[in-house]
Amino acid sequence: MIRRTVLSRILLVIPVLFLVSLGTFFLVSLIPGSPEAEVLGPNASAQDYARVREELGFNEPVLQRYFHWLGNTLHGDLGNNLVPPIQRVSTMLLRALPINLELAILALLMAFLIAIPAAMWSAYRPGGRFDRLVSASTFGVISVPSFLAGLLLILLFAVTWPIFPLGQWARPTEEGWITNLHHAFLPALTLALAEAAVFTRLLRSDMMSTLQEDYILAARAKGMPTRHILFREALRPSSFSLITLAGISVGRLIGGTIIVEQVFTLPGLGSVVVTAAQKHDYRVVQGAVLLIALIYVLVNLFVDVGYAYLDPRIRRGRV
Amino acid sequence: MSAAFPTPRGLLQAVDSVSFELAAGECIGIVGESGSGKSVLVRTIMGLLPATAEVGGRVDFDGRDLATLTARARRRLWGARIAMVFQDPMTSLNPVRRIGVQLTDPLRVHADLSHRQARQRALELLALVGIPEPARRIDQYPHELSGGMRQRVMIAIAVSCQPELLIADEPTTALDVTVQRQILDLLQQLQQDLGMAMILITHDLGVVAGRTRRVLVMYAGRVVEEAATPELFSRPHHPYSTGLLASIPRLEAASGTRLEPIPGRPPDMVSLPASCRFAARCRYVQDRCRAEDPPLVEIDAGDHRCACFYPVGILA
Repeated sequence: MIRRTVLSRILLVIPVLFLVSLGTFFLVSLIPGSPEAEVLGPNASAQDYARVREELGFNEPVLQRYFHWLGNTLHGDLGNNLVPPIQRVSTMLLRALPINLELAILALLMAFLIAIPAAMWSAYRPGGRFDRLVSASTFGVISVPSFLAGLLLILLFAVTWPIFPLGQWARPTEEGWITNLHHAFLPALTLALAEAAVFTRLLRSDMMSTLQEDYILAARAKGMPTRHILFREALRPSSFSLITLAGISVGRLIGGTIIVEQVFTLPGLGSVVVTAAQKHDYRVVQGAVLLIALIYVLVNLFVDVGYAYLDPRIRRGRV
Repeated sequence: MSAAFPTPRGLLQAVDSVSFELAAGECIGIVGESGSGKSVLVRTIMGLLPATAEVGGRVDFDGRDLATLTARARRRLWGARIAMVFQDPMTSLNPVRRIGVQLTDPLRVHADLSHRQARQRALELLALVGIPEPARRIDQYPHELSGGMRQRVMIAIAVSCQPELLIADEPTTALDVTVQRQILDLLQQLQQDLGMAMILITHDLGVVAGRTRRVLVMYAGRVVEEAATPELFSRPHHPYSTGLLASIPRLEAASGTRLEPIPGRPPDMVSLPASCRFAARCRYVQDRCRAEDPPLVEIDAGDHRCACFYPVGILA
């Protein structure tokens, strides 16, 4: 039953998030250095350090601090950051998150748009010219690190042919969707390329085995056109591993885009986390990690529901 | 026609110079054990073999050679004028698509029916093949149906566009014994009602008895005997055919009668002997059989052909 699956998965979210928050909190508190040095600078007196530590609550035992923070978080309050300029952690995160969400969604869409037709056609004629071309290019793209891909794309499409702007972000609320998409295209494509290459290879091999199935032969014997066979008959049964992988990718696309953010100078979550970690601004790191974990878990919940959509046989039993 | 597959060990000649005719509305059976080339033969007729297969010969269908058709022209025939029922209904229906859409696909492509018309026709077809509660079944998925039901759906799909030729490739092999007869009766009924020609492929001579007009017995990629069905049962000439008949249990036989298996195994299809292919297993084998390959020749009147130098029941 789908409903039972969803319910049990939602219940599972709670321990997962608890463990993630616990892990982050203690890992972060192990980092050498402390926020008071960032607040006061290296020349402050020992009394000043002690005073700021007291103010920030760092003199309490770790466990007590953790449960204090957890209590506030459960009430939806991630608190203020520790290092000036002081602002609410939730404000910082909510300002950065839409950038990552948009990039992740765009990148995923682009990756599907590239991977699905490419995988289909190469699986349809394995060993053919198109297949060999696809295999070679996916292999190439996988081997190129994303900072290099990003720089190449900037060089080609923002410098040599200035079709797209040179990095920076345009918020749709401030500059409209068209400007926003114009700015988002290259970074999204950078993220999409690597994903698309992996998706293509995975879907190609699944598709090749699906195309060996009896029902594909039966569909051909019905006189169905190739397009019908590939899209209607073969795609859905071939896409299990694809959506599993896509679910995992979303997590990476949201939380792990720091390099692309740096290349394109985007103020996304990755930059927020890295800057905060460098300044020992623990509360921001904790909040961000918790947020990314939450999104990750939710996306994979969707993936589980997606299986039931893809295969009616799953709808009867439990996932 | 011939069909061969390249394998790492050499060319596998799955179908070797097989030739037969089928009149409109006629029903013939092709019998042979596993690996005798029956399925490859009908796939050659359909043009459904993988691209790596080397196919030779002609398939004349209503004055046109199917082997020379373009892929597009062939697709227009498939499902519309030539349809096929496959061996395993468990795997021949797409598990993630509803029965209804799989049934309406050919109707929409070939008969150009609207969505509503096609669905209406699909309901009629499901009723025609004896599926109870078609209105409920049409929205179910294959896994919700039994094997027999699924084969009925496959048959409904095959006859949906009223083809002139129906090829049934071991349609009952994967089914429960009790369901086999029902499916065969249904096929026979539809063949007569719709006036289709039918090729019934089986490894079981009992299946073709009383259902087909003629029978072709295949062995190792060749037709070894061809006769009218009653003729083959009463006076089989090829030792392989007599062997097949002897291995069928008979009700009238005294209890305790042993079934006679044919000893040995079919020859290696990659390195076929230049002799008679059945020589190694034949109980009547002579020196000539080990040296030469017997051609398929007319034995006696009534279109009875047999590929044997020393046909059973004929004094040489």
